[in-house]
Amino acid sequence: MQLITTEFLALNKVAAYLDNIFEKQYQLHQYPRAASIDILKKYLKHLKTDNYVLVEHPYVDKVYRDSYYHYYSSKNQEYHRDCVRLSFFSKKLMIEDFRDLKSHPQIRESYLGFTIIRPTFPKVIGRSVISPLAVKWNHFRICSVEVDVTANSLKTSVTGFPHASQNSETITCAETTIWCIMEYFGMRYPEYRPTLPSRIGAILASQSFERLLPSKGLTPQQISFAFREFGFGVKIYSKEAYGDQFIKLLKMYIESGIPVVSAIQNKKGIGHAQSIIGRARFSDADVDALANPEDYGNNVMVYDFEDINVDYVFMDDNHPPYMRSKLETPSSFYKQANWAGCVIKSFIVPLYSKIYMDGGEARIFAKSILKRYITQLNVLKDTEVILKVFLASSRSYKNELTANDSLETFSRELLLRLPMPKFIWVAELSTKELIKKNYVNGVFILDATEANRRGLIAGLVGNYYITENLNEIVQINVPLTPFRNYNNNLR
Amino acid sequence: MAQSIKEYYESLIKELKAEAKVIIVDEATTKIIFDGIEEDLEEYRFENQQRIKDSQEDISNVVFTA
Repeated sequence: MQLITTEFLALNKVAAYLDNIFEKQYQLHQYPRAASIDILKKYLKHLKTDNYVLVEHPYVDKVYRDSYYHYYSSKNQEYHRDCVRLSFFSKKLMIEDFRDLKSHPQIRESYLGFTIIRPTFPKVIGRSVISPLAVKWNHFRICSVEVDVTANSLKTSVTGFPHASQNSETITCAETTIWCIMEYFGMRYPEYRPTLPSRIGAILASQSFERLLPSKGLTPQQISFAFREFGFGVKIYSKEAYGDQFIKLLKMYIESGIPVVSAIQNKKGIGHAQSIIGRARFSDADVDALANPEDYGNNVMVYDFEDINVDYVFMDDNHPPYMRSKLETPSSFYKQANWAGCVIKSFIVPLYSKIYMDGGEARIFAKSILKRYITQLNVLKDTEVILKVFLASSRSYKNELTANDSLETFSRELLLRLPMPKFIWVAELSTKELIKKNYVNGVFILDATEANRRGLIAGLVGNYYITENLNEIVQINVPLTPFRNYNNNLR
Repeated sequence: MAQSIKEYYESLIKELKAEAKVIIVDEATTKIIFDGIEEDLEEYRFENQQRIKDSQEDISNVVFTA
């Protein structure tokens, strides 16, 4: 039995230390060692240079062990079953601090996540959950989950999005993307469970006419099928079919806090899956650049929130977590020439199974209601509106409302008393000046289980609370002043 | 007899001690609004059916391996 060794190092010392482990513990020759360290260095370069690292070896990793027992152990050549775990910290610590009760609060406070180094040389980067605070560029808002972990036997936690690299044998980009997204949903919501590569393979085996190991990649239909089997109501959108609505729909789902699988392709033979999990925070200048509003009548000029042009946050299994790029150029962080010119050709959205109104319908519905209420009920005139439509869980939305004291009590109570399904579409109305301060001056709440005319639950617009009941529209005058927007989907 | 929606909101206004008035929008205006929304949704659904068919063709010829 090999005892666990631990070492606490500055980030720039990690590569040399691992080189030594690869040589001594894994008996790795110079060439694969150099190739592995090169990949590791590129990964670590993405992190802030003042991070510190706790290195633990041997480490039993559930995901690698799954691949090991289902695949590597059946090979002729020897494959190791133990990994190395790197835990990241914002402060310099001593190994002894982990055994000193008084130091535990500061260890937990400075903990920034972990990365598994697996013995699949040279593609050694295994699964990770890294806090955005550990990476150099983190001016973004993403969907994230708090994950319980240990570091040198001390229980702690990190908030981030799960990531892993492909090993090209048991998992390619497609399986990795499914695994990462299931890890996120499984750890965040009780309806889902995290999965393992072998489970993904077992699910797809029932639909496959060919062997799945070694992996040769997956089609969008296979990815969609896997998500469906994991309990989602999946939607696929293709660029050709949705035209100019395609990117707007993609942005709506990202804004809803749903990690989306983007399928990118170019004419040089690249076909690749990534997940998109959030976006850069927008500046005042980004908002001011909004142009081409649509006239909804009464001199009300409506802008689409999705026209704000910012970078998006990608989880790509060939790169470290939290890569940035515009949605129009999703491979811009690839240096290789054969990756040039990739575009998102389709995207797959793992939706809660009882969301029957999809993004396109919600968008049309919200616009149609706003237009009719403006022209027929004169709820607004001579103003601009930025319309932002997104999904939210009614539990989170109501919870935020209870604490939103910027919304006047009567209006708040009217919304809180409404029965709502598990998920709602929210259409927030604001202006350029209000959205810069995260404020809105109107909202429509739509029933995500009703894909028809009866989809409106209620709205606050102009100085009115409006709701519908069978064939009646109820209008109540309320003193509506700007109030804080809903901010819980991306953090 | 069950409370009408107007009565429900009037009693809520009373309970919350708010100063507000409940108006039921007249039938003609309600019809224009509801018909307009229905029309917009129908138009979208019709276009969407074709899009879904086209999407299936688009995505059937690609494998993600890179």
